Amino acid sequence: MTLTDRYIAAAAAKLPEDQRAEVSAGLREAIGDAIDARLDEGLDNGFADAERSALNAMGDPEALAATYSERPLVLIGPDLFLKWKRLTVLLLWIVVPIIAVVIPLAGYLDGDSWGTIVGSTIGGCITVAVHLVFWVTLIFAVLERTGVGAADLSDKWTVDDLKETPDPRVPAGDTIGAAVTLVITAIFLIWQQVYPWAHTDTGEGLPLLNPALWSFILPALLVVMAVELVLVIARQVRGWWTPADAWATLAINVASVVLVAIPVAQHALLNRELFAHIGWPDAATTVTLDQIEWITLAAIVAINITDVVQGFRKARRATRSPG
Amino acid sequence: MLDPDLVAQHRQELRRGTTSLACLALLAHTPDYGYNLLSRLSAISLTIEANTLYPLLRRLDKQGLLTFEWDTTDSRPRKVYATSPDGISLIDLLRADWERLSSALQLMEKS
Repeated sequence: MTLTDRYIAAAAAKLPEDQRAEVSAGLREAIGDAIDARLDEGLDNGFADAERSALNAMGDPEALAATYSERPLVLIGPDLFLKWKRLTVLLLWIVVPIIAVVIPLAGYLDGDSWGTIVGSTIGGCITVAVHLVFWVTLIFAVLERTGVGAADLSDKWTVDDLKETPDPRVPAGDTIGAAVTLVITAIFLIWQQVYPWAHTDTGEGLPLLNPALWSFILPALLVVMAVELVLVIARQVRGWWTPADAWATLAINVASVVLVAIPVAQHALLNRELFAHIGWPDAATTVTLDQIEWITLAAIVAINITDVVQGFRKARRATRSPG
Repeated sequence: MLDPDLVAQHRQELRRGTTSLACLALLAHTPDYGYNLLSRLSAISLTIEANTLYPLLRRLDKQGLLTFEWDTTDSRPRKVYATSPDGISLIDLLRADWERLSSALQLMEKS
């Protein structure tokens, strides 16, 4: 088998069955003529050399076969690329956060250790994300090869598709909502101590939260909340978010999560005496006080993460917008 | 100084559509086989690579703009392409477009 034969076989292997014979004959002519021309010019050292240079000039046989059969040499072309990107990003934003909540919750309810839960959450999120990107890409690669265009998938873009540019000013509703939440939480913290739900037989009050936390944790939490209230009002007066605001929000949220996490880790957020007194959870309930504490912490962490992310997004939007 | 890569890229874009017009026009004048057409194109300084020209000829044939016959007089059989009536109509259309572009360029120079 000559080099030319091998080259033609390599190109033909990448062609649809019905085009092989015809394209092979065409290639044999093209290569043969190129070799003859090189021999006539006398540039090469004999036939073998001329054949090598002629085939080198023709390039990768698979690329040549793709040019002949007009097959795309891209996985997803420019027509479908944006659809692919938007769908992938959208699905990742929807699915991965759900997985990131469901896996640790299931692990926790199964009584797995912290290391196992963190490991399986990270592993699970990566697996789901990789699967998602792979399958979406596969579908679009198939669409690309079956000649489906962007026009078949959705309507043509018009100005109506432009995103609403959000008002960079801080809405009064946000401020009122945040302030009311802070005040109610503070009132609740104090109220549950001053007016406890249950009393011991000797008439001593049994608050919901561990009273020992008043030595440091709960006052500190109230201070943090007071600082946050000041920031929220200052922001409303100023009228827009700044990067400093976002960082301050991050610091405040980290502080409050840490303040709640410390007693949770020590199994001391809820007042054990109260629950012992009212006799709940009893033998019939499957939940433990520890679990309630951890779920409370998880909920607080989730709310705080959302808060911080929102803060940075609003700050970025406000600094970007011209107004 | 102009970046040579940049120049090459713009030249390639400007030329892209002219290759098929040149092939159709040359083959309308005299039917020919691939390698000879390469030489004729390069003689009028429209150099094109063999691995671009041969697939292009086949595509123009599939589009009904060229026809071919196997020439078996030589030891190596060759496809001899000729421009079809459809191809000739397309030459006229493309040539008119080219004239318009050319006169537009001249108008721009004058203004």
